[in-house]
Amino acid sequence: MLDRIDILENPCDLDLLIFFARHPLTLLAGQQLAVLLGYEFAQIGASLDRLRRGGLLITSENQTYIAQKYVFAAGDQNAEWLPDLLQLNSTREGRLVMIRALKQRSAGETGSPAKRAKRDAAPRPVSNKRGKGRIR
Amino acid sequence: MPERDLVKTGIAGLDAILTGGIPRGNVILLEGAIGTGKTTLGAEFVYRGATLFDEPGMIVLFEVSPHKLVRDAAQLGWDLPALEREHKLKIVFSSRQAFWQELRKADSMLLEEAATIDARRLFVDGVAGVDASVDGVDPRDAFHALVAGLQRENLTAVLALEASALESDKASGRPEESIADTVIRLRTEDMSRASVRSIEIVKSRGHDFQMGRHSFRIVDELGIQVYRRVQAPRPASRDRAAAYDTTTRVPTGIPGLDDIVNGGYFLGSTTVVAGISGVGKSVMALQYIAEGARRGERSLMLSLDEQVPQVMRNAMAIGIDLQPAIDQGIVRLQYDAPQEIEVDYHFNGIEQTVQEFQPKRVVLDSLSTYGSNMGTQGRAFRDFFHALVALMKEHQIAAVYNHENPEMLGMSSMMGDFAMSSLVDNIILMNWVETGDAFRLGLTVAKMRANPCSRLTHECEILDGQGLRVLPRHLPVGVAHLPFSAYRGLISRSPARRPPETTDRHDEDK
Repeated sequence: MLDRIDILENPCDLDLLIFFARHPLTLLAGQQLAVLLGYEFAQIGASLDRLRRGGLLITSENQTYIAQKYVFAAGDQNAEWLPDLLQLNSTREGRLVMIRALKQRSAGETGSPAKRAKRDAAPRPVSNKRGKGRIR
Repeated sequence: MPERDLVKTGIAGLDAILTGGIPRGNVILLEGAIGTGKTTLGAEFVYRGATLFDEPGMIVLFEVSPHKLVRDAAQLGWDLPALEREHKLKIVFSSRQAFWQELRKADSMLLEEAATIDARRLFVDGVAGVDASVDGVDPRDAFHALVAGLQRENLTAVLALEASALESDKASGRPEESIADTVIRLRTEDMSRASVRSIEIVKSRGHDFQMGRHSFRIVDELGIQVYRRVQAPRPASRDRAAAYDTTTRVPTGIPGLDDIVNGGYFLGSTTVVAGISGVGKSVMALQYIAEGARRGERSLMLSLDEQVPQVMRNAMAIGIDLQPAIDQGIVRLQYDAPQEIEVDYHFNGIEQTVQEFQPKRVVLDSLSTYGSNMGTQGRAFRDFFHALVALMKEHQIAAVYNHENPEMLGMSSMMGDFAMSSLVDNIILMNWVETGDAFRLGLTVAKMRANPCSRLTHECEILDGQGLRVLPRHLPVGVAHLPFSAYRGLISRSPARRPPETTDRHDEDK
């Protein structure tokens, strides 16, 4: 499936995409998005940029506001894969498969040991397996 | 007087309580604890506006995810995505902080978004947290700013406020309550071991409304159904119709009874048949319904004691086959389970049936079952019966109510704990009379308003395949026992023989 979705690079992209699929018209500050999804603000910012560049998200232009308007713009034309993606992510197993695949993609694209070390050092969502739960 | 611009909610039963709707532009505060139905009511307000009145709307959510709202709405039969595609609805997910900061700005993105679909209605789900002042702004000022923003856009807004401290009858005293134009309060109330939902219009500027707590339900495929409380004032037409027809009589269908009741009951009259279980009240009721069917008069039997198949079987036992009349739509039998009756809902059901079926005859079997559910000491039963009598009179129905009197021999009061005699036009007492070693069945017309009434006790019998008949006061020669006219004190508990020479003199019915 990921072959059809070249816009997603990492799990944060995926989570943000799914969030906007479920909340197609959102009025939030970027910091609130980060808290809701459990990622660092910088990660959220990068993922927002990717979704925007991919034409999946439209955001308000007025930067004087703290809150921004996010309009999910995925349709049949630019995201015919979306229903399958949502279906796959509706189960824990499917979601883990997607995350693994995205991690592999990310590693493949940024394959140098130095870049990998830097990426691994970056903050990540806390694993549920450790019983701490993600910040929601 | 100019016509008022009222916003109809479109929610079944609610506009009647609001006497037509809410003045456009009012800010409506919808209060209630968790699970009282705020989200459903608010969403339906917007949904009905878009679908029934061509008024697009916007829903703002803070906690409920839009896709869950869409899913839950589908269960109620509302297709929200279709409305979004038609640009009649927008669902916005936000945070309270973003929302409050947003609405304080003159060029609010949120209101701008509403303007893109020309929204006339807004529902904000969960404005709680306003009092935790935003950026040091006084909560009252923050709410004022919100109201001002809504008024600029001429939006009629429902703002849901979670208020867990609404158990008492007192207002919570929150600033939102005094600033809002309309305050609607939802509750779940305990009723024995059940819970019922209630809705109360606490205040509403600019128009009249029906006060008090009304019942409501949330029904799959229908949404919210509000049932006006049974005690609420009814349309004036109901009172005007309360003076019943004084000429048309409705024959009872019981051999011998019509002679005693001057040819039948008046249209619009209220008749109670009282007696202990087993004296033949339901048999009389079936004969009354069958007589209506025979005459082509629509007849309705409302049963709380027996289910329809059982009623049909009982009828067959006395030679009455109601099925053809039911198939023709002349007779309707309706059963309602007596457990935990929600009085407003139940009365609304009867009202709907009467308005739609337009019966001439109605039998309700039995009043005592209501009494045992609602209690006879408080006002609930009396108010319910008042409303029922008024409804039947408005529709000029000759209504018969069976009432189980607990006394087996004789009666010390006509309606026991049910102090309703003054409301009733006709009272027929059915009694067991013990003479010798036999129980015999006696019938006495104890009250017949606006009619002459002899109040003599007549013997009755119920024959297999024939039903009940009232016997002549003088039994034919050859009958083994003495006629009732030979006794006195029949409905006291100790009937005594009259001296033979006085029998005729006391028998006015001879």
